[in-house]
Amino acid sequence: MTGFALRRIAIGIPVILGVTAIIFFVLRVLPGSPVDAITQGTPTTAAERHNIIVEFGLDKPVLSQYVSFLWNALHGSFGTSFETREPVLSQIDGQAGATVQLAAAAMVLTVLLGVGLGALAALCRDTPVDAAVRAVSMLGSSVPIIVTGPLLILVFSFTVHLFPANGSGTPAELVLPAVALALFSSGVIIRLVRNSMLEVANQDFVVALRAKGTGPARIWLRHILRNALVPAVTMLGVQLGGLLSGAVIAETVFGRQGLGSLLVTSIQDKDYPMVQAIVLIVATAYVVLNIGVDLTYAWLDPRVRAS
Amino acid sequence: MTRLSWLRAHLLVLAAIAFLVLLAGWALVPSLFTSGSPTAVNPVASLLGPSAQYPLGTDQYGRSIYTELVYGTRPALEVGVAATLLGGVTGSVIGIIGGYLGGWADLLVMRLIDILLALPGLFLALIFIAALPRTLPNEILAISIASVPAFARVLRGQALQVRSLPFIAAATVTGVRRGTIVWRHVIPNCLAPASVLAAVNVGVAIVVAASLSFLGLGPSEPVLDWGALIASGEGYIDKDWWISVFPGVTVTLLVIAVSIIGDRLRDVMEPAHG
Amino acid sequence: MGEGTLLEVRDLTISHRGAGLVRDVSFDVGPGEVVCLVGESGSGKTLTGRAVLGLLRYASQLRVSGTIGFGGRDLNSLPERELRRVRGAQIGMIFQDPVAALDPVIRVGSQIAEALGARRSAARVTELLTQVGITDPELRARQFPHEISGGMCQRVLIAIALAGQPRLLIADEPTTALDVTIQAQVLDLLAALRRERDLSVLLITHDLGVAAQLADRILVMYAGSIVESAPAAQFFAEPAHPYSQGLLRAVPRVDVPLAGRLPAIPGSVPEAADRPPGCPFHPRCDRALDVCRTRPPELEPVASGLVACHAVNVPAAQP
Repeated sequence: MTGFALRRIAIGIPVILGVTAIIFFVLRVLPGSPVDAITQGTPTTAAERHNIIVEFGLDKPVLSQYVSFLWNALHGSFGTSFETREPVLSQIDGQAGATVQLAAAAMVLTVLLGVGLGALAALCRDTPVDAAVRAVSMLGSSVPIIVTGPLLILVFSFTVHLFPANGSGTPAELVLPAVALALFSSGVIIRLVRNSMLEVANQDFVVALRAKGTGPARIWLRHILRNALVPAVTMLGVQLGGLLSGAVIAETVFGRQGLGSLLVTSIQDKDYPMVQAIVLIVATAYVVLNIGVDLTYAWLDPRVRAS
Repeated sequence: MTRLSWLRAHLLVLAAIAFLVLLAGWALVPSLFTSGSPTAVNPVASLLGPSAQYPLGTDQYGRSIYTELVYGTRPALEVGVAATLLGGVTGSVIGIIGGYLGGWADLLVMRLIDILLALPGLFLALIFIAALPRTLPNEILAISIASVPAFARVLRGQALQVRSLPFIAAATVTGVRRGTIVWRHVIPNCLAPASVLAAVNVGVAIVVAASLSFLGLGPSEPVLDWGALIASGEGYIDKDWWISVFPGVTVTLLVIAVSIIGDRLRDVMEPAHG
Repeated sequence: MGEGTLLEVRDLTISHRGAGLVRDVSFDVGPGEVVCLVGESGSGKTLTGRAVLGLLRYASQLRVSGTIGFGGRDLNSLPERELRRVRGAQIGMIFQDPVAALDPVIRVGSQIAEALGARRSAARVTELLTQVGITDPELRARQFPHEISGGMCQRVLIAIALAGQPRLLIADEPTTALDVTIQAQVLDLLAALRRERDLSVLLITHDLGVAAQLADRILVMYAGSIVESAPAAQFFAEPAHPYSQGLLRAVPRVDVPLAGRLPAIPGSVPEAADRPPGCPFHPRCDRALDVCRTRPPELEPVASGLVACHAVNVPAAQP
C-alpha cells in the first residue's frame, strides 16, 4: 500500500509543476503589458512606469521570473497584489476558511445523498421510488448552480424564511450554498451507486453468499454496497473538481466572502498575482485530494494495489 | 412498429430535438419570434409580471424577458457549439495521437491531460479569461481549452482500444500506410464516443458561459446573455422572480435536452451499455 | 420420507415463460452417499442443484414446482427465513468458478468466519483451513481471493461449505475451472471428507471421469429429464440408455488403440422451446422406434437402476 502511495505522489509532483507553468505563463505572457493592469489606466509618467517595472521585477527575462515565482512560492510568498500592494497570501489567508468550509460541507452532503439515495434506488429497483430517485438525480445534475442558487434562496429564504441567503459567518449560512452544490454533484453519484450495486448483485459471489445462508441485510450492506463503492469513489474525485468550480459560483450567488469571490474580483481587477496564487493553491489542493481519492480507492479494492 | 408506438417510444428524444430546433430558430432569426427590441428601455413597463402582452414579464428597464431571452440565444449557442467544435477537435486529435502512437507520444499526452485536468472545471477557463481581453471569441477560446482534456482522455482510450483490434494488425501487416489506417479505420471508430461527448459538452459549455456572465466575467459585447439576465434578476428575486427564473428554466431545459440526445446517441452507437 | 433418505426430490419442474427447462425430476440422496448428476450444458443439471437450495427464488422469471424433501420438510415451500437456516447449516454448496464465488474485497479468513456465524473465531478458521488441506492457514486467512490460486480458492469454498457442519454438500462442477492435477486433489479431498464425516454429496458435472472417481450412483440428465439412474459400477460397465451409451463411447480409452475418429453423438441438445414430442432424445438416437416419436418414456426398472427408454432392449446399431 505504501508503494502505491509513493508512486501516486511521485506522479503528482510533475503535474503540479506543469500546472504552475501553465498558470504563470498564461497570465504573464498573454495579457500584453501588465504595467497597464497595475496602473489601471490612470495616466502615468515614464518614470512612474519604470518604477513599477522594477518594483514587480517585470524587466527580467520571463523564464527567470518563472523561477523566482516558483522559488518564492515554495517559501510561502506569492508576491504582491497589483491592487492593494499588499502580500497576496495575507488576503488569501483570511478568505480561505469560508471556502474550505463550503467545499467540505458540500462534499459530505454529496456523499450522503449519493450513497444513500443510490442504495435506496438499487434496493427498490423498478419501483416508483427508484424512478423518482432517478428523475430527481437527473434533474439535479442538469440544473446549473446559477439557477438552483436563486431558486433555493427564493423558496427557503424569502418564502419560508428558513435559512439566510447571504453571508459566510454562521453555520446556518452554509446550508443553502452547500445544498445547492450537493444537489448538482450528487446526481451522477446517485446513478452510479445504483447501477454499480445492481451490477454487483448479479455477480457469482452473491449467489454463493446466499447459499451460505447469509442474510439479505448483510449481503446488501457488507458485500454489495462495499463492492459498489469502488467505482463510486473514483467518480467522487471527478465531482470534487466540479464542486470546487461550483464553489466559486456559489460564493457569488450567496454573497459569501471566500476564495471564489476573491478570485472573481481579482479577475475583474486584473490583479494577476492574486489570480495566480488562488488558482495555484486550488490546483495543488485538488491534486493532493485526488491522490487521497486514489489511496481510498486502493484501500477499498485490494486488487488495485498490485498495479 | 406502428407510427403511434414509434412516437411514444421516442417521445423524449423528439421533444428534445424539437426544443433545440426552436432555440436554433431563436438564434438565427430572432425577429421572427418576437417583435420587441431587447435593448430599448421602457420605464413605464418596468417590473411587470407575466401577462398576455409580456408572456414572461419585464425586467427593471421595462424590457420583455421573452424578447431578451430570444435575442440572448445566439451568443449562448455560438459559444456552446464553437467551443465544443474547437475543443473537441483539438482534444480528439491529441487523444488519438497519444492512444494510437503509444510510447513517448502517449506519455506526453497523458501528462498533458493530467496537468490540464489538475485545474478543475472552471479554473482552466478562468485563467484565460483573466489573461485575455473580454470578447466573445476569447471566451470561446477559453471554454474550448477547458473542453480539451475531456475529449483527449476519451479519445485516447478509444484509440488504444481500436489499436488492439485484429483488423488493425492485419492492415499493418499487409503494408497499409499508418496514415491511411488512421484515416480510414481509427477515426471512424472514434466518431461514436466523440459525438456522444460533444452533445453533452455543448450543454456544459453553454452553462459555463452563462455562469461566467453571471459572475460578470463574460464578454463585454454582447451585453445581453442568459447568465447576465439571471444575475440582474437576483436582486429582485423575492418579488419579481421572473427575471431570474425564466432564463434559468431555459438553460436547464437546454441542458436536459442535450443530455437526452447524448444518452440516445450513446444507446445507438454503443449497444454494449445495458 | 423414506427411512435413511436425506434428500428426496419429487417432480421438480422448473420453467421459464412456459418452456420447461427441468421436467418432473425425481431422485433421492441417502446419508453418506455420493450421487452424481451427469449431463451436457443445457441438460438442466445446474438448475436442479440450485433449486434444491431455493437459489432460483431470486430469478423472477423462473417457476419452480415440486417437492424437495429434507429433514422432514419441503424446502420448496419453506419461507425465506427458515430456508436461510437450512442453507450453510444443513446443506452446503460449492461452485464452478471458485475465485468468482468469493467477495473480492474481503479477506478469505473473514469470509470463512462469516459462515461460522456466532461460533466464529480465528482458531476455528485456521482449523477449517487445515482440514481442507491448506498449509500455512494463518497466512492464507489474511489474503484476498485474487492472491490465491484457483485450486486453493476451491478448498476455501469447501471450508466455507463445511463450516456449518452440513449433512449434504451440493457441488456444482467443482473441478471444471481447475487444472487436471488440481482436479484430482480436490476430488481426493471430497472423497476423504465424505468418509470422515459421513457427508452426502450431490455432485453435478459433465465430466464422466470426475463422476467415475467419486460417484456411488449416477443420474443422467438430458434436456431437462432424468433418462437413467444406476449404481456407478453398473453404469460404467453396462449403460442402459442410448444416450449414456453414446456418452461412454465418446470417451477416449487408454487401454485400446484409437481406431479412426471418436464416435460422437450426432446432432445437439435442443433448446427448451424446441423440444421434440415424445422422447427428447429420439432425433439423435440410433434405434428410435415409432413410439419414441409420440410417447415420452417413463423411468422403468432395469437391472439395479432405472431407465427411461422404449428401445432399451433393442440392440445398438452396428458402427
